[in-house]
Amino acid sequence: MWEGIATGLATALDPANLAWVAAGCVAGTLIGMLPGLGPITAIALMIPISYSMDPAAGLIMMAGVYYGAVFGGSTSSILINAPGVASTVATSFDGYPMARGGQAGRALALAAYASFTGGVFGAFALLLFAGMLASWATAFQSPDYTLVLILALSSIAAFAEHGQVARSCVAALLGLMLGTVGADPESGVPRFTFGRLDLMDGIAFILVAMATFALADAFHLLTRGAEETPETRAGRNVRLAPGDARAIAPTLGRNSVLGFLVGVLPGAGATLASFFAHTFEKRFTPNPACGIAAPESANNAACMGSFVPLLTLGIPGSGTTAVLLGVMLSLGIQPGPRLLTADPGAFWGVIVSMFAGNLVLLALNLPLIPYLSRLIRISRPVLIPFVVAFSLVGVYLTTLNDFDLYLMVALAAGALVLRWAGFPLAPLLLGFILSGMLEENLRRTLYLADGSWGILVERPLTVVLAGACALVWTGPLRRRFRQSSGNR
Amino acid sequence: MTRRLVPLAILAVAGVYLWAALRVPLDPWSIDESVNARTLPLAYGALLALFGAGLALRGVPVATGARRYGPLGAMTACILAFVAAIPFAGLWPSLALFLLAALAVLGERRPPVLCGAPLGTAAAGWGLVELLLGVYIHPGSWWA
Repeated sequence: MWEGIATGLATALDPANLAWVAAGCVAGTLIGMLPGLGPITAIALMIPISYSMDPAAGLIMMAGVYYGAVFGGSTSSILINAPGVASTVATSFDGYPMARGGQAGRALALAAYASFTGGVFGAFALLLFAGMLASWATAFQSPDYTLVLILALSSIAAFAEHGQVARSCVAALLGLMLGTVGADPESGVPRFTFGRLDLMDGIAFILVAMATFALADAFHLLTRGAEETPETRAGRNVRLAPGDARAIAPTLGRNSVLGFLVGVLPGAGATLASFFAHTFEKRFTPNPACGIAAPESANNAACMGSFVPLLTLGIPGSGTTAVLLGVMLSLGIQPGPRLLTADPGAFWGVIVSMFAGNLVLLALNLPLIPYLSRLIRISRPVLIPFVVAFSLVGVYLTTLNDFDLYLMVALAAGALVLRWAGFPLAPLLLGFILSGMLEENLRRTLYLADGSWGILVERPLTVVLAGACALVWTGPLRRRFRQSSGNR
Repeated sequence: MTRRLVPLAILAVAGVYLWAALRVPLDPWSIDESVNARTLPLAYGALLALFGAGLALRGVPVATGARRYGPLGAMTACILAFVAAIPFAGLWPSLALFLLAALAVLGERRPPVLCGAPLGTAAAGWGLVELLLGVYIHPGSWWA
């Protein structure tokens, strides 16, 4: 492991990579600050830039964009009560009232220090556990992978918001279906191409990511009209109040651990972690400083935690890590247990660069927040055309095909309708990314077993994984049963 | 939008997908395989139809509130015109025109923003992509 960490240090401390992680953090912060645009959109908008980079540098920059966007989301949450990211909604519960009370600088400083602590704790935990888990995961075979993929998809139902289980499943199924378009990976026969050669290679990942997030977000903002939100200025005095550091220290400790553990679970992620942390913390103290520190430390630790299944198993646990998986595959990096031996520079480089990224977030963004937050005041008539233009040009530069742009507009229109009807879109992206992997592993598994499905419950590991899938599937039913017996 | 329109649309998508899945050609040697090119698509289509039917019976609560469809329609028209213009005018001139039109359509009236932002963005894009990164992009049939 120490050799790997040394390799990671060499990769992460390369001046070019340090510059990329700093650029990623700043870009992520800027995009994450914009109300309505979250980390998935931030990563999607940066994909075309990453294509021209060295794979390790591209991945390091994208990781910076991810936690930069989560950090940036807290600024709009606190200053204008319009979270750019779902994971910073809980921050606004105590942050916005504090800002309205004339303590915007204190609220932003609390969020910044808490994000830093959560991020650094998460990076340490990742450093300790990722290597161990990756070594263990090398024993995984196709049946295990098939079941892990089914488990990751099933978790969408388990962690869906109340009343959204069916809609999350529909979104995931639509993603899986989009992933089947193109030549069949085994036999090469065309599927769902309707005679169009443009579709033979399948639908590009960047197209789906941009259409369902960047473009659909822009369309959604267009239909909402101008919403005037009372704005609070950041001021130049971004610092903690006396006694804050002592008050929030235990909060940071327990919620960083909680956030990391929640982040590791497939399907959970930073949003769930931040809500858990806020609810959990309010049981200990009514102090609003702790109410800001808890969700902020938890969501950043969860971001780091979500890299555990992504880097070690190649399985994304959330919509954002699904986009990162797509970016990794596009950059020629195959995540999973073999990444540790095949590309230790990328594996350890990303993990070690997280320390640098979190330091950049604190050192660069804290003094810049009063200036960066002016971005929030960019009017929608100016912002939206640029978001649309960047997403269209991003896709065109990747595929150089006009048809893809028409397809993108059609997909964005569909995504907008789904959004209006309350369908979450992250499962759609997760389904799209996992579609090819699931089909490939399932078919390989059945080849190995001469077509016998029994191979999926043959070994202790597969039995455990199949049991976990069954538990997740029956979760909503058990919840409903408990509710109805509680009502009686 | 009514409570059942979206589930019914999902049901229709599932129907079309299942119909297309049944028409996926199979090699003679893969017909007898337990999982072939049709299996998973058929499973996905059937599951989607089940969920779509369930949601159609129950209805989906649709978010209400005033929606402005005018700007959305105008932006969609700008996007379609941009895509249609690329083969003729090339990417960067089309981008500048798209930004100009989109900004104007959404109500921006300040001349420095209306002219400077589209031209600056297109010039920066051209410089970054074609000059710095050396990516060749067809200039469009009007200039070629």
